[in-house]
Amino acid sequence: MKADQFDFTKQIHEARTEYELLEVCGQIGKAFGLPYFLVFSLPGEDDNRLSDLDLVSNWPEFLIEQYDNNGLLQHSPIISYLRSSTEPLLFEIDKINRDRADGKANLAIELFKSHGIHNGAYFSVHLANGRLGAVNFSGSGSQLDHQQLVELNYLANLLYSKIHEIRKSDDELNFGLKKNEVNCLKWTSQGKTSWEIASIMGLSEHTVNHYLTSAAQKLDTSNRTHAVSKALRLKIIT
Amino acid sequence: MQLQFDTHPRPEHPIGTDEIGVSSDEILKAISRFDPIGLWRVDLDRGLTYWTDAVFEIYGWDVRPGPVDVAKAIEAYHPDDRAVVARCLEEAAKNRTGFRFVLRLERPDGGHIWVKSCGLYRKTADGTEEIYGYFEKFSALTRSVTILN
Repeated sequence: MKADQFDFTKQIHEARTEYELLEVCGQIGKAFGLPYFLVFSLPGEDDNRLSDLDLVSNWPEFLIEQYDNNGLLQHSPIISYLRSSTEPLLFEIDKINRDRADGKANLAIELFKSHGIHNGAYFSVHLANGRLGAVNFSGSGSQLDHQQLVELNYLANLLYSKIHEIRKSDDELNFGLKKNEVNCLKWTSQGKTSWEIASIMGLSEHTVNHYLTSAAQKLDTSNRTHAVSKALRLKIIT
Repeated sequence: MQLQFDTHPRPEHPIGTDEIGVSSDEILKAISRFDPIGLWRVDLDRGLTYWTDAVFEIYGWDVRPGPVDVAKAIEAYHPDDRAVVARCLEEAAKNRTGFRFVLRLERPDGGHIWVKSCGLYRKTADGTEEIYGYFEKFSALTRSVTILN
């Protein structure tokens, strides 16, 4: 499949939720013939487990668990590379693990190959505050050519920035909700019907419904369940 | 902690229970024979959630009638998993789709268990929009067998 970089750039810019972005990640990976992706912040020297990092992936199920159970992070040649260089890394599982310092080369190679990962690329990414991360696309298809490497490097950086921009944006917004609107959402989250909320708050049921409709609109949501779950996720209500 | 993310735009493959001579009720009975399987339903417009007794049992809560306190139900998850639960519900309610998650539920008696929840959108005959699904404990990956006696 020919990757349309312009389309992907547009999709990344227009994504409004983290989940939308992750769907784009999946599409990008498939378009470049490397269907698995991994997005993570670079581990510190004391981090021992990949699963403890702030990461999202669609790696095959249980791969990360087995990776950690075998203690492969500490002497990962890829992490070592990412700590020392910002250039994209094209890798083949056999070659990159050949000189592992922990003697677990064969184990690592077998593990990844058994999950369908034979090659791929890592892209060093960073935020404006200097926080380093990496985006990986991998699979068992053809290795990327130079043009594809350049395109994917650009998209990886856009993705990483956008993920963190969305997370930060979600945390900062208060959506202009009024106190009564927040209270109605809170009571709904606790399983109260409009009639019960009206009794609790000394309002008419009509007024309660109005507050809930208004809250849903301000949260840019399409129904009460959407509004309540979004409000819970953003800690507008607890 | 890592979160494995996946989308599932695969076409539906309806299960033909008639073909094998087993009813849906019998299938549910077989599934729930060894471990509790809870069922749940969310009325999207009213924002209210309903559980069967088995969901309360898995949570370790006393069974209570009427809509569930969803805020408290989400609060019962591991702190790192609460936003994920809320997000699943949010996306399903917004896009009228579904989800599946396997996450950690903290028990009132301490410790946590892994639970799986699957939800699907539907529109009932009277036009009510809902997300409905099932909820169960998700056992550790180990070879095992249980014999009925």
